[in-house]
Amino acid sequence: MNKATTLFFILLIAVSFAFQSQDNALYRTNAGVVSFLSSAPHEKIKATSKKLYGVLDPNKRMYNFAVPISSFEGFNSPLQKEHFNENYLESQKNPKAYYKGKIIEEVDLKKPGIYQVRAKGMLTIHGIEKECIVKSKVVSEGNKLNIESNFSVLLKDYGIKIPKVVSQKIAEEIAVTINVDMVIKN
Amino acid sequence: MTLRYFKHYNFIVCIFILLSFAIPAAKAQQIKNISSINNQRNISFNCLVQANDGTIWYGTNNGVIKFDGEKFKNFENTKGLINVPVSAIFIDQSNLIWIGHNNGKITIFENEKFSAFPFNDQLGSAKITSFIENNGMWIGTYGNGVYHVDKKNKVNHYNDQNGLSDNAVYTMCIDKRKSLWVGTDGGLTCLKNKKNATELDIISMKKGLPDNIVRNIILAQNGDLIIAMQDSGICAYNVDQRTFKKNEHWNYGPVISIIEFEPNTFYIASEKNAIFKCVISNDKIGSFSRLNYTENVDCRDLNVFYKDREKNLWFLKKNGMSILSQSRWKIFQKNNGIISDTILSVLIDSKNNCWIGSNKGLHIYSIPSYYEIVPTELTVKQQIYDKEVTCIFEDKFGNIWFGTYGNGLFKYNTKTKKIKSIPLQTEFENDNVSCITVDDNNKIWVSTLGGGISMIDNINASEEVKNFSFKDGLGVNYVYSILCDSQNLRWVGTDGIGLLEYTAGIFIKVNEKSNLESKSVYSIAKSSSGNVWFNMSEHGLYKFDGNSLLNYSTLNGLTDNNPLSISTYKNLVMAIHNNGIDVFNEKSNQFTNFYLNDVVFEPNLNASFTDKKGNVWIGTNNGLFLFNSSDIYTDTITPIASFTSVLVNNVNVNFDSKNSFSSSQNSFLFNFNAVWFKIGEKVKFKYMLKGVDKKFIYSENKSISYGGLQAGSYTFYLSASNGEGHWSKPITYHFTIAKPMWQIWWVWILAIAIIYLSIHLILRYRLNLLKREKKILEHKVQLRTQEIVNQSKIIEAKNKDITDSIEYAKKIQDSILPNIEYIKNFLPHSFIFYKQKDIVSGDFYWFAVKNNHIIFAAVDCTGHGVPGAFMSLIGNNVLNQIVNENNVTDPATILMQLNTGVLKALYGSKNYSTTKDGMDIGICNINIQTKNLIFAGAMRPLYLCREGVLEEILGDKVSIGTDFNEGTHKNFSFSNKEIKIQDNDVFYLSTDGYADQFGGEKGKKMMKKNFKNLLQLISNRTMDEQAKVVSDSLIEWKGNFEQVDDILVIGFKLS
Repeated sequence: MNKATTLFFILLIAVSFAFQSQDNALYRTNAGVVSFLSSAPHEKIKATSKKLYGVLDPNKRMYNFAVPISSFEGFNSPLQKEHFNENYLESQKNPKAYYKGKIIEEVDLKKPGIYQVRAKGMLTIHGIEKECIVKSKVVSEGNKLNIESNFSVLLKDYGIKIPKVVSQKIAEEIAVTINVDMVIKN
Repeated sequence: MTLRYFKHYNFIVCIFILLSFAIPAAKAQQIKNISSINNQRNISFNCLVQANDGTIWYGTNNGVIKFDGEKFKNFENTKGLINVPVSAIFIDQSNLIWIGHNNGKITIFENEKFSAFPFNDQLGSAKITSFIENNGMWIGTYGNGVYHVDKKNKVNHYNDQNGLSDNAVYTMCIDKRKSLWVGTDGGLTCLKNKKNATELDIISMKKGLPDNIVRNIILAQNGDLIIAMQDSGICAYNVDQRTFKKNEHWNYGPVISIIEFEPNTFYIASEKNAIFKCVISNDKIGSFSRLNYTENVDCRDLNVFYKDREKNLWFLKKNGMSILSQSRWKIFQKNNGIISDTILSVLIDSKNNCWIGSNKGLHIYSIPSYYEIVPTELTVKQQIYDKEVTCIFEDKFGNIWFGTYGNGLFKYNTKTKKIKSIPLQTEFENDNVSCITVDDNNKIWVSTLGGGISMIDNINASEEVKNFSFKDGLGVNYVYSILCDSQNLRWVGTDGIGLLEYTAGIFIKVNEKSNLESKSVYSIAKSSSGNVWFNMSEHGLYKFDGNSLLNYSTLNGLTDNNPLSISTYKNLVMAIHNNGIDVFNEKSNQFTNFYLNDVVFEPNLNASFTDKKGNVWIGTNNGLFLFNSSDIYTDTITPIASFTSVLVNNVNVNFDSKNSFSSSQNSFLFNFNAVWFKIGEKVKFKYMLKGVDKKFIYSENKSISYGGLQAGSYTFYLSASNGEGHWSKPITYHFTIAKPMWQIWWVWILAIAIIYLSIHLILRYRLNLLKREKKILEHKVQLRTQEIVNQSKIIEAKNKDITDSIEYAKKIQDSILPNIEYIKNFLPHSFIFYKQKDIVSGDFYWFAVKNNHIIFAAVDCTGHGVPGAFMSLIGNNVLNQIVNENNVTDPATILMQLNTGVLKALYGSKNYSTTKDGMDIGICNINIQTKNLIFAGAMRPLYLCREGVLEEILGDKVSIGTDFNEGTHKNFSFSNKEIKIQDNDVFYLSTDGYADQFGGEKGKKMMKKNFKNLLQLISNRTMDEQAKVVSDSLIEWKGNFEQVDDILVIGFKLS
């Protein structure tokens, strides 16, 4: 085997590995942005976490995201944040919220383009799991994805009880916004 | 009646803006909301299935619930469910109930028992979402794909790893080729059986499916699959052409369920709290319209939307359920938006507009659906708002004619949109229009109340009017209704002279033939079979077939004899009255009654109209009523009758298997039910116990008992009706009651044999017993006989001794008696008849002669036989002593001394005051020289027969042996009776033996009287003859009777 032949095989193997790794690659993030907005008659509360992390398998169209509850910042006061963590979300007992599921539409996210998809999965908040379908806009650049989603969550569905005295300050239905940039990684 | 002229004909067509609201019909549907069952509230109803018997089984978060239309029955985990929340339920062909749970396991319900599905361990833990039977059982899960349990009980698993579109399965469906379709989050998967292998084919968005999330699939009647999706509404998939029909626009949220309510018409339940209606034609999916009649149902948190076999709609929700039934009746009222509640006339025109004539004029509505009418262009001016529009008619040109009460006839030209008044110009100037019709020549006929009939030429613009009144042969000017038929015959319903037929220019009374004169005919209608129907006050309906009249009244099915209007639709004749409608089917010749129990009806006279679909629009004083008659005889769905229990002698029996009963089990109670969820329509039953009942018995009760059934074979037939004349196929329960033992022939033979054998054995035993006893008796008799013989011998010996003694005593007694020959020496004319009862006698005669005195006595001592004989010895001795020794001859003295002597002889010095021993005696002292006879008697008389006449000379009433010292006879003395004897006087002395002898024909005593007669009879005979007669007479009298006493008769005379 001459050098050229050897080089060809080395290149072939490298390329095949490269392609193979590309096929099995997953989109990942650890700095996704999750915001929620409570629009109650007497008060609006907004908080944001930039610590959403997760993985998306473009081949199986499966995904798994999580966000630490205590990572939400914003609120209208520190006490509000404290109540959010200790009284409502009980972050010590249920430190994270999860969303795990599958993209319904048969899209190839590795192919650049803009996709409107529905993510159907189990959303776990406050330790309670509930099926949830989230409509999302996915912008793919091949190696990168940007996902934007807007959906709402009913607090009662997740066992989060709002005392009557603050019922005018905390909405029953919370608007959630997600903006995630994901990068393909092996 | 006031005539009103309408002078101003300047009608202005006012075009109203189409109002955006519709008037929904009240009572168009009936809703029953169920929020709690058996004290359980907020039950989440997750699924349901209707069993073959009509009952509905629900899967809930609280277990399984069964509903039979009347009662709910709960089955919870305590009854054997392996898990309480139920997510899917299914009944297979063998009536096994499959119950799927949230935990992915299955319970089977069979024979009233729950059991765990044997292959639960091969199933995962994902919620069971659906079952379907297709060559085994298919089980859909929400997360684990599909399991197939084939007929060999092999469990096959299909998931996204081996070809299923997704593991989240919502629904399954079998298409017309028997392929299985699975609806998942990844689209549809078709599973086909191909030579022992299953081929899976995914149809998803890539292949044209609008949405991958398939919530529901149903097989439409045309063979298409109708697919309900999460966000894209519905689509229809042709499995042959593999093509989709898609809806163009869907913005009503995720679809929960879809049902095909009628062929090609689908109802769709969405999560947006609404039910939509959609028609899918061959080429497209039609637009979606909200189903108004379901709008009163709360569809929030809907889990399942279902149509049962009765076409009721079921809404299963997270906190209860609702049942929605359609009603045949719809009501449009003022409070729903129509102009008035007093509707006098109604017409549905050829453009499907609803014209309503009320007490507030004429109004027009469009009819967008069966359940609503919409106000539309109102075309009359204010001037006739307050006019009463009594009839409306559409001519062949589309013009609307309407008549008013008091304001005449109007014509609305639908092309020019103008109204004009048509003056009837009747002789009586009457504008009370009652009815409008047209004949084949396009001539408008108008009837009035008071002005007769007018005919208007509708062809020529002149609209010439010709009137028919009383003088034209009409006979009356008040006409309620008129009818033209295809032969241009006109039928005229009059006030007072019945129905007229106008033919060849002549009015003929139809009812003359039937003696129905002086009656009012209010309505006339013609059925498709050509019969003319009309009603008469108080007489119900009449059918005229051209030849004869036939009456229908409450006697043969009509519920009210005062119908206010008649409508016909095909072969149905509908009589409208205050209680509802009676529908008569000319084919079946039967009435079906449709009541309005809970609503005031009050239909107005002839204010009804039947549209092309068979809907009857009825104007009433309570709004506009709509009655759907179109499917009365085609909607043949009936309740499903079933037995709930059978009690025999008050004991529940398993009627599925037990059908033979003993003769004593002859009291039957049948409890039954018919599942019928339609609300407000009563289920009726008819039943017959063949063998007892000769015909079906109709009832609304749900039980019937039969008592005292005889032996035999019986079949109980039960059928249920939907209240509209349709009866379910009868269900039967056949049973037999055995004959009582005494009616079975072989039992008789056996019984006879047993009785015969028993008697035989008893007799034999008895015979043996008797023989044994006989032997014992014989032995005893032998012993006793020997004993008796021995005693007899002893007695015989003793008797002989006694007899010998007595015989000897007789000799002694005979020796003391005077010799007869001796007596005859002194009384040659005498006889003595002396006959002792025994050998010796108590009677004796005593004779003595003292100088010229003959003392002669007949003595009767106390007793007879030996005691009497002894007494006679005493008497004889004492008499001898008194007379012969003491020479006492005076009879009274003799007796006194005899008394003393006897007492002395018997008692000596003892106290004899109470003695009864003694003797009766008659004694004579005959002085043969002086021929005087002195007689003294102690209880005995002397008989003197002189010149043929017997005289009784009584003695004293005291016997010898009486104490004269004390007592009642103290100082008593016997007395003498002295008689001067004449020639031929015959005297008789006697004891009482002769007269006391029993005998004669009657066995009575002879008595003294007969004895005396005898003596008197024989007194003139010689003494020997007298003795013979006395002897013979006694023998003759006594006959075979025993002699009761000693007998002594003495007769004598001196010469």
